[in-house]
Amino acid sequence: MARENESQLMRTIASMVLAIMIGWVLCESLLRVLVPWPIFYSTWFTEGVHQRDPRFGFVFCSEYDGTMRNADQVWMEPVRLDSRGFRKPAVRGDSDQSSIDNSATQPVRIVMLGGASMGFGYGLADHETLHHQIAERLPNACHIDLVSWPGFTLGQDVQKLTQMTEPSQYDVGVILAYGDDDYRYRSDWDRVDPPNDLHMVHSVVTPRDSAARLGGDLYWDSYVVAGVCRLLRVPANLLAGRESDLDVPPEKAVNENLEDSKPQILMASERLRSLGVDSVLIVALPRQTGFHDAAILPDSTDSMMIDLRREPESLRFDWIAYGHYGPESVKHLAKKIANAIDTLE
Amino acid sequence: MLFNSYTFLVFYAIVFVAYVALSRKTAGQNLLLLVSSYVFYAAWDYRFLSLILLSTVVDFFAGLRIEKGNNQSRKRWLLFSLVVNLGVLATFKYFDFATESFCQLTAMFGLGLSIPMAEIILPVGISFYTFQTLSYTIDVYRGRVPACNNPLGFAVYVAFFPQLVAGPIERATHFLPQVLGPRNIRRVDLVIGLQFVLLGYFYKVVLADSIAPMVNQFYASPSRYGGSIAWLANVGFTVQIYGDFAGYSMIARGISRWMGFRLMANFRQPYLAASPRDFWNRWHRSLSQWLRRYLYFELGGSRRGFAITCRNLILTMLLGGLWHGASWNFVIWGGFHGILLVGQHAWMVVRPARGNWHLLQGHPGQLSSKILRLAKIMVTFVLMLIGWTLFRCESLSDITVTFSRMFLSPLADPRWLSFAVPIGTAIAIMLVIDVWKEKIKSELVFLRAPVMVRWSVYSMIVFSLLSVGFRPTNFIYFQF
Repeated sequence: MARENESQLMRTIASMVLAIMIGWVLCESLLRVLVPWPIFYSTWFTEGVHQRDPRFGFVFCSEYDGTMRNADQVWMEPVRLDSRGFRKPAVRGDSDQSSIDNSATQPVRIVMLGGASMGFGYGLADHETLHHQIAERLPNACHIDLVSWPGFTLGQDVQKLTQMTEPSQYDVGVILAYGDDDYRYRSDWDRVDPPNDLHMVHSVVTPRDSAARLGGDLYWDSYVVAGVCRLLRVPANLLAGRESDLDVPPEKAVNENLEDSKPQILMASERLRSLGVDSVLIVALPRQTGFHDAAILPDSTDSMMIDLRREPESLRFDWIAYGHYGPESVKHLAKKIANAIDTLE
Repeated sequence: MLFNSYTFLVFYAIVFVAYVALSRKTAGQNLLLLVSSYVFYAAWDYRFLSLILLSTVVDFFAGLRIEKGNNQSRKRWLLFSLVVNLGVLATFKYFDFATESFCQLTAMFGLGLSIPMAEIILPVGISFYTFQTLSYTIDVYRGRVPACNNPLGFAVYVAFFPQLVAGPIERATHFLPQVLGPRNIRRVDLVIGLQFVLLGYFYKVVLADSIAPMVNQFYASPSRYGGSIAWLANVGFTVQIYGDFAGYSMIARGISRWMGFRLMANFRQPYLAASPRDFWNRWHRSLSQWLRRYLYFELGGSRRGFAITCRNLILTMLLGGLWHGASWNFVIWGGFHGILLVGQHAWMVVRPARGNWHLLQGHPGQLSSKILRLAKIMVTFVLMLIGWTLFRCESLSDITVTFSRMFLSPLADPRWLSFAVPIGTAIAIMLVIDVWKEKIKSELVFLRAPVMVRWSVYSMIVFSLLSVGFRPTNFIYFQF
């Protein structure tokens, strides 16, 4: 009798184990169809967009021809990068061909930097990006280069500008301020420390994430393991004394508020001027989450500033790709920025 | 506090343990349920608890007065209850809409009146609990249910947290006796509740929330997509809204069942409906039954001739649309369903005169009958899909753009496959489950399956939930 009970128990346990294994396989199969794995692991681009780089950790590949893909959404928007890995420049000829003034035929050369993925125009087709829309609205011929890359800070953008372009060729520099850091005081604002633990999935850099560290290699092979690690990362971070996925709490690194320092946007502006850029426009960009920080634009004597952070309150903004500007939003912003550039010229 | 949040899981676990500890003490359990329901609601906005309290107090006393009063005073108290409940609903849900619409109307006639908006925040679930308490006073007035003289029990009936914010809208005849009477937690209830809860979370968290981003992406700028994606995104919304709302209802029923309550089934395989009328017998049944009992029949139903019936159908569906939200697209959606029901009614009237229609239908079980039924289901599905497009669009211009994409734009769009595979998978899963339910004529599909199948499916659901996690997405019907 006891042996019979024992074998019954063993059969039940074996059935349960088998059912769990079948469930695991079913789950992995189902989710692979329902949520394609690069989206599950939050890669923003199709494969081959990034390559390792000793200066910045990674850079965008030159002549990349792929698609942007939102981290949590199943959609694709084609994107092509130029020989430096930047989005294609916006070039606009002079509309008044009969002009006898030779200077009018010389295009104004503008460079835009900062704003990370918002400046890059993540989720937007080429003709919808901010720099293309600005070019359309400027009255004279212009050539606008865009240096911004998703995942890059303003300081890194300035470094790219000096290392990958000839800054003195530009008549106007447009600095896009978006993140909190851009308004903060930092003495080491343009220091670039290539990360040691950069993780690339199919040549796409993925954000640093403690969940991935918990799961090791299995994290990248199994939805279930990845899901469990994501669930466990909060208690794991708490146990490790971390508040978030970032190893270094941001306050320690960036909120120095030194007397001899300035907000990053002003430091960047000064650097641009010293590199030979004739005039600088600083643009404070709005966020989907609204105007929630009390950052006041600092005074500057050698650059012009426009604050567009409250624009969504008065105009109908569209948002795509989890909080990025949609085509309509970009048109609103481009109009204001083009007007400001026009007054600079 | 959303069902799909870890906070809610902890909240429910605490409530459930305390509830079990109070077994056989109905008053104690009810007190616990009332406090936890108020905590649950206050987690959104504690200020709006006052509205629930107002509704509870007014309808409790109105019910007692209606029962004891003479004919005239009964009417007065019913009117009082209607005015208070509908007045609160109108103020909080429709005031700004009415003001805006009035200003637009005056602008059309060149007057251009500008009345400032009150910017009133919509209290979560106000339409649900208002209709629930209204059904109580009306039923007391009609003598269908005795007035409740237990204030605690009545307060639980109004505010019971599993169904407070998105239904089902329970009638007092069905739910009040459960609140007032003793409840036992039986093993079978735990097992059935488990199926409801797991399937509900699967529908919401795994299916609906995985499809939602694609739908949102399309509706963010419909003009950027071709015809094939417009269709797929709308099929996606058809899946999403079902997964979202049916998922909520199943979770509500499951967690209620664990506490010994039986809530009504709000859905019965709606996308297997073979006609618009059939659809409304299967979709959001608690609302459609409410509208039928307390509005359509009050207007005269179908007893006063063809024209009056058509008017009643249109009016009921227009108000049903408006119940969903203070926006013209909901009114249009309701009107669209009203027209469908009128069309079906007209067909039913005309059909016998056509004579040989029944020959085409054949006998049940025959191939021709099955094909005809399948065709009806497919036509109904497409009609419902068009309806959901009206429902989902946020403006009249979005409606125009979306329909022009669906019907006038070329179907080719190179990105269609990235939409088609996930949406196709989600709808296939839902249809398999629904066909299975229809076939066995029971909701307990997994409980009727072999143990291995059941546990494999359960473990798949649990693993899926662990994998995708709880995303901070609201339930669509919370906004109503």
